[in-house]
Amino acid sequence: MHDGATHRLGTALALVLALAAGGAHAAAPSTDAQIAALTSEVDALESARAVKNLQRAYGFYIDRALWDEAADLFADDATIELGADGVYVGKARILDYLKRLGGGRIGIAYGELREHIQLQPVVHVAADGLSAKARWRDLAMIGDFGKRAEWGDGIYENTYVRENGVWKIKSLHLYVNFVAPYEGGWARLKPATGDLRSDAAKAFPADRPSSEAYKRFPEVQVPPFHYPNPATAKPAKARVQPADPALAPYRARVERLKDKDDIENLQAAYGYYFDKSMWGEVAALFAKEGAFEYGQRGVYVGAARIRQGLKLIAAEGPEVGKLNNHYQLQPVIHVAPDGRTAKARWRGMLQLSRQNASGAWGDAVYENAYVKEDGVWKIAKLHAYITGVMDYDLGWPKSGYPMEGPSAVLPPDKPPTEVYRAFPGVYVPPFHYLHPVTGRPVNSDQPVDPILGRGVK
Amino acid sequence: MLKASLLAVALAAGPAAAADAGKLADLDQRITRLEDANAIEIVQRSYGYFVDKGLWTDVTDLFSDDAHLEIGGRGVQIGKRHILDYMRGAFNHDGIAEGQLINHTQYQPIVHVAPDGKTARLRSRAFVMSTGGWGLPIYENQYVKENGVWKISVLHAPFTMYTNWTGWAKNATPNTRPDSFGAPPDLPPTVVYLTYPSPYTVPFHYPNPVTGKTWAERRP
Repeated sequence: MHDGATHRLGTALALVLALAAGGAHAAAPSTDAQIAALTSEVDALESARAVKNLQRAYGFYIDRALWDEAADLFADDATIELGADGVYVGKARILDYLKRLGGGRIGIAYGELREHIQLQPVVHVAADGLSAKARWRDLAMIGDFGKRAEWGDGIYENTYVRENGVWKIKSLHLYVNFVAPYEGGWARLKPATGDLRSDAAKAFPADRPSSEAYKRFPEVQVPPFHYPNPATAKPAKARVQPADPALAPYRARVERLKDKDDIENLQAAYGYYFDKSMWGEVAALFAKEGAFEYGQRGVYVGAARIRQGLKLIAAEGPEVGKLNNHYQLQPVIHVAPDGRTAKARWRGMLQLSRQNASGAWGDAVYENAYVKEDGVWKIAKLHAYITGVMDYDLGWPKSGYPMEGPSAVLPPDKPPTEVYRAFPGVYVPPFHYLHPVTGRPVNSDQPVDPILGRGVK
Repeated sequence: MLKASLLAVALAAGPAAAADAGKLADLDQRITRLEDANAIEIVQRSYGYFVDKGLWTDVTDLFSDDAHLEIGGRGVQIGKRHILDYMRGAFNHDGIAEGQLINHTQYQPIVHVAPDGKTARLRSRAFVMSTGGWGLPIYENQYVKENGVWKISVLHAPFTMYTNWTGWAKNATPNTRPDSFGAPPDLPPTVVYLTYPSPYTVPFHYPNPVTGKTWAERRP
């Protein structure tokens, strides 16, 4: 994994010598245009990263109630809408509102926990590079030591603007799904009634009313998506084609960076559809003959079979009291040098519940494959290795649901690729990639499993 | 070095070529910085995946030879040998056993690569889901590029909050438990602080992304 500096020096020198030899008139304008086109694509990649940094910085500031730092991330005419509190307009009002939410001071007080983890971005930067939109999820851990502990779940649909080269938040819009007490969790929530505004919003009302009528879990709420299903995206317009072969390595590097970002968006989008059991949208993300394998259920191949297989996991569509959160996080994405295929490892935390049943936390590790079909990335293989699912009340030390095996009523197209047990069993999902530093295979020796008889002498 | 060599040849070739060579060198640097940030995220996310399954040798191999590791309030371990001993001390074998869960999920990275492309800093967090309870460390790490390969040079993970299964309203674990880890540190903790329920803000390596004011400037 060397940086190829010597190679790039040679390539760039070759370009320059070609220009010198060929004369400036014919080659230089089109080379200029090619470099300008590449530069604008690099600018878009940098912007996507800047938007992610901005939102993550917002999270780290509000965690510690640094409302002044957080408010400074907003444009002067920005808006904020958190849950049912209504819309606050303008940076000054946003600062005042946030401070009131925080108890009227800047900084966390003794005993407070106000963590809002910023996760799972789907980011789109506009073609003119001056605005962007992103969907995120907010995992909240709220507490007052000695008094309360709560989990929170929400979805952001935010917009961003670039002013004088600096990216800022233009609108922050958090759809609160639930705030649930630690004891009992989300499965015991009753439908929310009455004025759901915070005390701060009641005392210091918003500038505009809520932009929508909100529901809270256990009722159904699907925050609208700022983007269409990624599988329906049109491939990017033909750019200025690189006539100059010396620019080809730069173009390849830029395309690989874009491929990685597109795959990150694709898998995050999969997660948001999966959360709401939108099986048609999920199935559409798969390539022709795409494969879906979840736990020990076996492999379903092709969109139609995948959609049927998904119905075995949960009924299609969101329902009252049904929580089916499957986070898509921690991506390690490798795109093949020819840009046609890719592999990625992901982690998925699970938050589950069904009506009149207890809730569950879970974890999964994915090893997926992707393919570019007609210029658009699709999932070629989705393989969710379930680490474990535990009963919410009993916790990990005292529970661990075994995985379901292949269905008898809708058998899979292929049996499970590997046989392993979920927690309390331990399995190391094999890594698609070599160790990032040593370049050697990662240790995937499987631990002893006394029930399967693996490694038992 | 790349830019200087290009410009030297280009100036000999003519002004238009020199301008293009300059633009290409700038583009190359910007592309490389993006690749660097992606590579660093892969290293840090791999740290998490390796810790989850107790792959301590693979974890240690992510570090530079003279790296520093400081987790919670347990002081600083210097060098790969001591880092491996520390990891093995906490969990005294490679791999995790039946009934054990020690997920250190890696989230919310903000990476800044130095202009010379040789070092970088990251702020990120872990969300710990384990058979022992829940945990929230923050990372303020440093990375170094050696022979084209990014490695962790400083892993500094102060704890925000750790708790057991009764939850953070009822239980808060302190960040210093020297009895639980066998390997003594090489240096004392770089900073002494109390975890939840006490408030502590881990200083930010980056200025406010909009105002440009550093942590020290804002809060002297």
